[in-house]
Amino acid sequence: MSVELKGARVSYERWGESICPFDGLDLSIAPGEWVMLAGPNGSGKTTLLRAMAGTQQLDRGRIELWGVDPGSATAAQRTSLVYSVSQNPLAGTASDLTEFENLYLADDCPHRPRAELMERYGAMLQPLGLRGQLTQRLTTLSGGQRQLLAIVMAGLRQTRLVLLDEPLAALDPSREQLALDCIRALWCSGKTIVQVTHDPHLMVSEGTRTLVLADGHFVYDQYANQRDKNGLRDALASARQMFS
Amino acid sequence: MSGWLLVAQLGVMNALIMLWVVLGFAVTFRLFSFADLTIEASLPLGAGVYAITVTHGHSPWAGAALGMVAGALAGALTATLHVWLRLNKLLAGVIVIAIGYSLTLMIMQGPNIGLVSNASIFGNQTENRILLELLFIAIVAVPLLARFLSGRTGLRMRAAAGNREFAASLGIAPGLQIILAVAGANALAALSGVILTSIQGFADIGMGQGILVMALAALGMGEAVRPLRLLPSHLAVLSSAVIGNLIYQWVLTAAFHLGLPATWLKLATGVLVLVVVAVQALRSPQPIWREVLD
Repeated sequence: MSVELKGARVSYERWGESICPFDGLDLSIAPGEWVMLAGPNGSGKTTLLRAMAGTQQLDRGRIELWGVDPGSATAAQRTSLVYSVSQNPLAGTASDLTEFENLYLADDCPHRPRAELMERYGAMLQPLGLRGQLTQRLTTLSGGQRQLLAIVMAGLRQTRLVLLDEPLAALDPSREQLALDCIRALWCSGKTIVQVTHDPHLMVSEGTRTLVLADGHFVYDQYANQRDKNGLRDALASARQMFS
Repeated sequence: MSGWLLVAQLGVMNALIMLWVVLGFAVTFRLFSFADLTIEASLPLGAGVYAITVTHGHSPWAGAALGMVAGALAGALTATLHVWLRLNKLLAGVIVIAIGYSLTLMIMQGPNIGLVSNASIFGNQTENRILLELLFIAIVAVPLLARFLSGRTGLRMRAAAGNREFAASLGIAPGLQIILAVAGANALAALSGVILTSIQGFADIGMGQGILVMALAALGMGEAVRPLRLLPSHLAVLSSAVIGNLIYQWVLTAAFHLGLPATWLKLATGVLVLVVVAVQALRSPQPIWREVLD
């Protein structure tokens, strides 16, 4: 398995109140899966992603990425295993650097002549309409453009797992399709993907598996060939009821 | 040599001495988002360590290296106070300035040290020869600094300063990068102290006073040169520091030549900073006075 959670419990304090999104959560994700993770706000999707990224410690239970606990792994180990793209377009890039410099930093194999790298990055950005801004600082780009860039940067990492927290939230419909194409390309390159989404259409049309998290456990867990809109709608409705 | 030619030459000389402290300040302030006050301490500390090493009969080059290490440690302390103890950057700088003052007095065993009869990094060369050497060092070192800032290590530092979350996701330890960046900038500030001490033949505890405002004035004047803004950000910052520093030193030397009393130095620098800030505010598309009047 690429991702393995056993009896995972996470809790944290917010405004003096103890919050426990899940306790005793089990999950296994096989290498090469593209998991669509859904659930109402506050159900613990982002916390689950943070636990996978090693930035949220478990109170109990264990989590392993290819046999390594991301919470106790070294930074080098962790970054060789997992890369996260936040739902905030400004968080996944460095504003004061140019497009080229952002890509160059994210690139795990940058030891080539700069002209060659310019050509390579330019070709990656061409379909997204971002090639012309390669030497511009990101402060000149819109939030949507920066989010696209953050997804492209995930492709330059040699990580096996990519965590995408609502990556399409800040995008208009045309850019949403471009971003989806990028994510599909990431998956086709052999990376395991966990993507948080609130879009019911995406939950059944994209990815290889759909999970709905509510009340600390998965109320829906189906692979692509078993997914159906009605079942998913019922699961989402019951998940919302749990939170209302 | 005519008076004004001498003024021009003296301006260049002063600019080449202060170049390093202005560059260090500009890089931390603009590229690493760290308003670092420590240069007020690291410049005299570097000078003091250099002076005491030389007066104890050691090589001036060892003194220069130790002086820069001392400056780097002062910078590292400021950044560590900010990163680990979450102290405000300005407050961390103020604390290290206070520590640095006492430390420099202790190291120098007094408020000043004379070096006239001791060896210097410039040997017994003429002023013109020293100027040429400093110019050569600047011509070589500034492009190297630019290359460093646009290389992978420099970019990692800049990313860590600009977006810690992003840097951490790339496996960069943001705190460590910021500490290294501020330490490096203060090593440059200490280098200015070393060069100044070598040329004037003494180190003094008051050498750092007003350095921050001077660096701010120089950078502000450089940033007022609009075409520089078209350059990539690291080149814009470096060239603003180099050109602004030169303009500032020329203006100041010319002012002294015209009879400005030496006691007015800090006042003149402060007024220069205010003039630069006011001009930039008035040239902005949404001037602040319009907001006030509206």
